[in-house]
Amino acid sequence: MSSFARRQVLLGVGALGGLALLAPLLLANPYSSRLAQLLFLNVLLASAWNLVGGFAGQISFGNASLFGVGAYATSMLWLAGFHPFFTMPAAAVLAALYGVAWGWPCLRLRGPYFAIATIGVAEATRIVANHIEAAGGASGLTLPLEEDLGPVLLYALGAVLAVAAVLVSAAVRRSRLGLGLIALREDAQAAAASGVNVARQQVTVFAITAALTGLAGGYYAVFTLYVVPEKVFGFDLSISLVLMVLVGGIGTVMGPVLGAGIYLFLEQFVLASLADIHLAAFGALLIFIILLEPRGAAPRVAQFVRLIRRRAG
Amino acid sequence: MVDLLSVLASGILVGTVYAYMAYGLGLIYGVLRVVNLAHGAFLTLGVYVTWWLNTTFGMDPLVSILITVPLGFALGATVERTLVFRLRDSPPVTTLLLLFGVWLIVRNALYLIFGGADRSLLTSYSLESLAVGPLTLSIPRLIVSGFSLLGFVVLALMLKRTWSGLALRAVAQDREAAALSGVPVNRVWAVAFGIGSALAMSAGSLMSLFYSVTPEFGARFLLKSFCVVVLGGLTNIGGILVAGIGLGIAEDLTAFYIHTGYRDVVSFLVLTAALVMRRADSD
Repeated sequence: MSSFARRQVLLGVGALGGLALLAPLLLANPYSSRLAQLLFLNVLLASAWNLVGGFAGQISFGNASLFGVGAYATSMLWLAGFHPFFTMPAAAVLAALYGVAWGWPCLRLRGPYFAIATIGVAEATRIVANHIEAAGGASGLTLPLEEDLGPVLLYALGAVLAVAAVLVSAAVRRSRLGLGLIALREDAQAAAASGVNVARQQVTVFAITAALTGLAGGYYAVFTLYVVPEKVFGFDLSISLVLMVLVGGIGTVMGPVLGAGIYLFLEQFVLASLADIHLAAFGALLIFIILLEPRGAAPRVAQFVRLIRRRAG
Repeated sequence: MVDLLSVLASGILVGTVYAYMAYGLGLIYGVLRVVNLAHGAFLTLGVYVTWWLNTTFGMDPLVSILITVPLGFALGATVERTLVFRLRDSPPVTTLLLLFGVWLIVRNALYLIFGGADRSLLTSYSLESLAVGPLTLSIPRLIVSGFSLLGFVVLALMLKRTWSGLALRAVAQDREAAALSGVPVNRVWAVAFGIGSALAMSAGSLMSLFYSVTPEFGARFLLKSFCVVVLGGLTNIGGILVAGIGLGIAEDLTAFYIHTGYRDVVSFLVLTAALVMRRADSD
């Protein structure tokens, strides 16, 4: 086992241990356990988006199409009699297949062209989903409330998924694949000339993004017990991912985690009291980050941590 | 047969409006290399301003173009000066996200001012139609289509015959060469953004004649505009006109022969397919 892998395992176990210690606090009441579920969901989604958006620099406005596939895969298999937890792999695989199906042609586009193409795909998916009667059409699917799917189990599932997503993200960042993607982001032509298989690397990482996003969809279905096209395939969802990652720090491993937390905080505590202007607040935040802090909160936090260490040491 | 003919006719009429609505997006991209994600905001704003002028002062939507054009120009030029200009050397995706922020703010402002309800206006000729042989053509659509064509002619003349038009084309072709020849590139950028936004807002005035509006209006038509512009070639007036009409016909055929609900799917799929087939060069 390489030292990196050993460290990864240690970090993963440590993170899960920490989350297990926090569990009594977060599971104190239904609201706090819902917050924990949403936080895990956001971390999973933002880390997944960042693989292709941050490392490869391909901004996707279409991840809701993958999330929706995962959410529906889990819901429909569950209603067909499978245990919800065992539907998760199916959610991941189906979302990955759908992601590769449209990512393969679209990822040949770069920059704004890719971004626009993803909007087209996602919106087409949303409209079609609204018309599939077998999947409940526009009114969606309501899932049964099961006693044995208690908050503790949902907390554990969310924690495992979120930690796994961050570890995958760190592994990709360090791998040959990640280096190739970053080379591609900085200069696609130079990367191709240096022997990076631009097309294959992007599709590979997009498949990982899609699988994780599909898992997120499955998890969402399991804890909300209600999926509806306008929500799970909605443009707002795709946008929130972009915002989370930008707020936290695009192209870093911990940025999406940070952003997921900041976003949840803003959404739950600040915007709840400003419901009338929440779109404008997000718009203003987006403009603010892009003009003044394009690298997000991660570098600031890293600076702060270094400062503390220096004081302590 | 008559069915098919009337579907084609209505597709052509809507398609010219699509082309007019999309042109501003292409112009801004051509000159600034910026994807104006706030295009939908200007379209929506145009419809609301027209609706408001009509319901408050009884102003005809066609007359309100005299207001939406300068207003759109001023707003567009301001957005360029205050925001877009600061990112002139950043990757195009950053500007795209910035303009998305502008769109969110405008959408929110519209919700606050007008609420989320469907707004539509009615003029004396809203429900009139004209019989041409076996076909029945709606008068508002004919008028709007005519105005769109007129708009194209004015724009083409401006680009071909005036100094500003020449400067715009020069910057679109080669920014550095234009700057070296003494074209004030900064001002041309603001002007291009202004014209693009004025086109979008006046397209909103025209569209108010047969669409109702909510603050979410812009999203659908932003995507359709992308579709038209990508298919037609970014600043190619003729190409954009053909692409607009093509999209209009394709949508109406889908709505008539397959399912009305799938009308919008056509433009999204055509958009993606067109982008992929063009394999647009990197950035």
